[in-house]
Amino acid sequence: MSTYDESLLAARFAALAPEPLIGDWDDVLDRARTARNGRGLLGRLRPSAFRGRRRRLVLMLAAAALVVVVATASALAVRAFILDRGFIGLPPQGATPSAPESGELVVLWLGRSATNGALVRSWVYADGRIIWSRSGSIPEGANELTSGYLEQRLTPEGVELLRSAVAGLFDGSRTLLETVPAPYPGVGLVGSSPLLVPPGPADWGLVEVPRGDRLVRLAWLPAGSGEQTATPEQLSALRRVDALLTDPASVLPPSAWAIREVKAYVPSHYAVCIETSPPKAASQLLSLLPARAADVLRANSVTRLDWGVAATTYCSKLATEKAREVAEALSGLDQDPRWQRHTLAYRVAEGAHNWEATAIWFEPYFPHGQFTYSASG
Amino acid sequence: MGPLDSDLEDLYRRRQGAFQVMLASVTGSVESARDVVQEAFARALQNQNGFRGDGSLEGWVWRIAFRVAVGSQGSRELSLDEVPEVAFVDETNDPALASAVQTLPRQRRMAIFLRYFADLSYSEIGDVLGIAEGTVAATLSKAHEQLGAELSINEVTA
Repeated sequence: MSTYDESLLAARFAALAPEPLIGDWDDVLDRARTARNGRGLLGRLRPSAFRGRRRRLVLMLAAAALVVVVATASALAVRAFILDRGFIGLPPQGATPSAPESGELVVLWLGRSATNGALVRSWVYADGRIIWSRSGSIPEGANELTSGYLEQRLTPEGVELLRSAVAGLFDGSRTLLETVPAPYPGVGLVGSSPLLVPPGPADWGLVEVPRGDRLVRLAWLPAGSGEQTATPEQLSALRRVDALLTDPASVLPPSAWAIREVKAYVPSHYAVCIETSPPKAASQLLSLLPARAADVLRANSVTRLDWGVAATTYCSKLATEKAREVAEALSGLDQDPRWQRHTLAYRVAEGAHNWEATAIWFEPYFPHGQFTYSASG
Repeated sequence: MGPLDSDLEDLYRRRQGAFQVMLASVTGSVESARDVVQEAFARALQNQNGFRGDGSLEGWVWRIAFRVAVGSQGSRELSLDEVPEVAFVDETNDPALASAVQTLPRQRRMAIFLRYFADLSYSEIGDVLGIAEGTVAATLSKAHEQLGAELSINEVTA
């Protein structure tokens, strides 16, 4: 066809084209940020956001549910205060922490599960503990969006089953293994050489295992057009690990379980993190907090995490009761909607854009001495 | 979030309208297409490591957007060798052309839509579809011929 013909067709197609709606780059950034905070790198199209009042109502209902759990435990006069379902934020006072306080990490999973479609985080320890969370509603869950962090216990045989499955996956993808850049464990940062899998509902994730004092990671992402995907053997090994780590109750034999009953994971320590964009000094951020909260944080060491050029995060490791002191001091602030219903978070100061607001939030430490980002969808 | 932030923002500000128009032909409405575009750019921002620089940034975002669009329709599998089905057009303003494009085979229709709705060059279409530029030219040529046969010859061809 001639240029004229193309121009004519272009004009006619223009008449067929719908009128585009107004774009909103801030919304894109908010979505990306939410994904970075664990919602899922390749998160699903999100439903309309909750209105603030509804958020508060659900939080109140969640709090009420926790009170019921506490009351029930008291009524039964259990010596150890065990929570039989997940919770958001800090545990009820007196809840028995997971023991032992420290544990040797065997394997860590973060990703969308091909087995059950949920966004799953899972940590397996040599002492048999498997601590996990998953998106969506489950009977033991904290709310309809997330389970919160839950704990079960495997036998040595169960731990070995998981360890060997991951070893098989790693053996088949040696050239793609990467050392995790400290201190970014188990968060939504993917590597530069991921395993490429066919695009689908569960086409991203990562598995990490300790090697010396670092973690080694295998990440997978959807292949682009024309890119060579993983071999059938690699995909099979990945699906096996997926099933074992994201739905162990359905896959592992009875002999793999020491305690199959689910209980809440109650940490001994919390990371209390302040984040802002553009970056600011820690002292500047602490000055924005209520004095009592700032004093507790100043008395502890602070680790700075830089998530690219746009934001800076400062985190302090606090014993749960110290974290509770900080939370109580912050209780006059509004909850930060970017984290709400996934973890306890407060809005400290507004920014020029929503993603530039300053927030402080609380994340549980896991037995291997690291924490993650709980916001997930 | 990464080194491509400003490039992606610039691409979004220049091209999000074209993304919406094109993706509406996959999702069936401009409202859902807008949501797909928002999600696609968010994924691109979040997963900048996935862009390897062996094609255009825009082509990479288009591929993400198509995956999002197909996923949002509930289609769980997207073969790498396939392209999404593009079918929806509002035929109010030009029912003859709307009818004619529906007769095109899937890949020709996609190439045509990318050319005229997304306003992509042959090279960029090749980048999105993972085919050579010459193949794009051949595909579009055949599509033009077929459209010409479906429409009035005098109306479409010089």
